[in-house]
Amino acid sequence: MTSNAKEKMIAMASNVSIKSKTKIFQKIFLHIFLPLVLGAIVYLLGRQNVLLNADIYFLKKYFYKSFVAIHKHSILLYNAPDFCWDYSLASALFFWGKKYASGRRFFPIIILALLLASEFIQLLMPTIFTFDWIDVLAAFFAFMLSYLLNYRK
Amino acid sequence: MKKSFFLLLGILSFYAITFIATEPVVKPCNGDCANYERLRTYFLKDSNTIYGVQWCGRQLPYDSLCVYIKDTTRKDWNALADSVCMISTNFNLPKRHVFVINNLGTAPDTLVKESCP
Repeated sequence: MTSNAKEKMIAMASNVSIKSKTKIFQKIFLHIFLPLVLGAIVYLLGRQNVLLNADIYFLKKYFYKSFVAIHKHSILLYNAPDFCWDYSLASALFFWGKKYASGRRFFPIIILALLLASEFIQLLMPTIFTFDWIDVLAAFFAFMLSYLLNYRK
Repeated sequence: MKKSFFLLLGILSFYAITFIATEPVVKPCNGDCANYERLRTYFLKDSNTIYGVQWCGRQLPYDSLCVYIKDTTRKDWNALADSVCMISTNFNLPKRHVFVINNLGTAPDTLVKESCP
């Protein structure tokens, strides 16, 4: 093999590696970071009296009114952020599982159980949390969507 | 310990924090707290005279209501204190004393101290 061909092969390999890394970052951004940020935006500006927005009255003062219209669509305000959180968590765990727990059949079931547990645990502490069956459905759909997009071969 | 374990622990911890961060800060307001909120709303709504109502007193649980006024031109503060006594009883918040306070100046000025019947 000539040195020219070798150089070409090294360049191609490095190109593939860069592309692969970019793809991973894109996936992390799209499936983990973005849903979390979208959910957080709804919590920050559309919901009142949660730890996340306790100290940003100045923001709420200006943006809350624009979210009042959304109040009519309570699913968007109360269930969509939970769906985003569930989807983001499921995706993060699927990415972890793909690298460290591949071939373990029960791994997706563990993730589903974790997501559902995060909802049903709210039944035990009714003064702090609000249990909602729509959230349970949202968790299930978030799991399914994340499984189809991130884990299924 | 493996790197993968710490990564998993990090992921779960991060999501646990975000889970807790989206829960309500304040405990539900029931009983006296709810009655007090109703009373406060009642007084502040469309009022040109009152700008604040607060539980007050020297010891817990507070046995008095402090009414802060913003219109110093009105003179009959005893009548206002009487009304506050009566209305707070109607809201299931009987109080022993009502203070009418003007703190628009440099220091708070108690205009009336009324003992409720």
